[in-house]
Amino acid sequence: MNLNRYRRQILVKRLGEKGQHILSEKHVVVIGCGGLGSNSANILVRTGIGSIDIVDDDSLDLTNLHRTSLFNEEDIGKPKCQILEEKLQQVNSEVTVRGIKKRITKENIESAVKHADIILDGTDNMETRFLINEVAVKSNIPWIYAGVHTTVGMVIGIVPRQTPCLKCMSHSIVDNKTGEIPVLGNLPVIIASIQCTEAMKMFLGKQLSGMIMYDIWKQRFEQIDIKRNPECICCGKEQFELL
Amino acid sequence: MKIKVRLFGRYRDITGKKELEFIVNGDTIWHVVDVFVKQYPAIEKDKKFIMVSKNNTYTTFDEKIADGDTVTISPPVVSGG
Repeated sequence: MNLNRYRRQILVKRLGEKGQHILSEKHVVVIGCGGLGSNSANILVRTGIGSIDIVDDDSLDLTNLHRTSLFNEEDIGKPKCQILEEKLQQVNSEVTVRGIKKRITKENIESAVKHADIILDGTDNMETRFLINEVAVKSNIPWIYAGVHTTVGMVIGIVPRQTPCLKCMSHSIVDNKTGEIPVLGNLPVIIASIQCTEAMKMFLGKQLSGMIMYDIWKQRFEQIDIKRNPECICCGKEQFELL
Repeated sequence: MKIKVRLFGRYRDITGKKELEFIVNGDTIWHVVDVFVKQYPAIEKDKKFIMVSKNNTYTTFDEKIADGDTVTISPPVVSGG
């Protein structure tokens, strides 16, 4: 590892050289690479993560460009994960970047995350998120939820059996299956940045910040401490309905 | 009983407050949510999905409450990508 590349962030005492080495040994799986996942992958590769798998089965279209950073008009029609693999490998050749063109299903999710030190949520639907949640709890892999809507974003770091899982809070989730989800273009990169910071903290053994909400229009940042529900059917009773 | 309610997100905008106190005739969080929504009908559409915690522990509407408990009320989880 060329430490000079990371000199400015190594100067941040919370990370330091030791932290940089820890990051360089970690494997991240990003599921979904739209506004959230593509920005998170970009951040982590530049940060010096060891290796990253970017799993997505979608191709780029014009409506993705307003909220992403690495995609260009000439990329339209190409698989998003392959564009990211190519571009991010050029950003940092020390990081192993793999674009995996695959739709995550209950049949393939366990093999997709088998070697993950952490899973980052870059999806746009709750069905896949609940699947991620179950495999994460079952396999004891931390994951970071992220969501955006209009001007509001949310991040929840989920450490199985330590913090609330997504199922713990399932009654508060509205799965908007109809129509396009409105989102201001400059919001996902901020939420992705918060998501990656929580991932870094987890790697460095630091306490996560619970549930984080940010409204970019009102410039309002809120953090809610939440504790596990021991009666949760997923992380409490270990019943995995989706796998 | 008297229940302290902490608000988050757009509920602060709707109410203009970070905290409220309600007198609740009932012993579950559902009763607190019911009083809240009756006072602020703009929140009615969220009612089923409101995120609640009691004394910092995420919980469900049927959780029992006691005098002096603090209930947190937040908008539903944000789910787009």
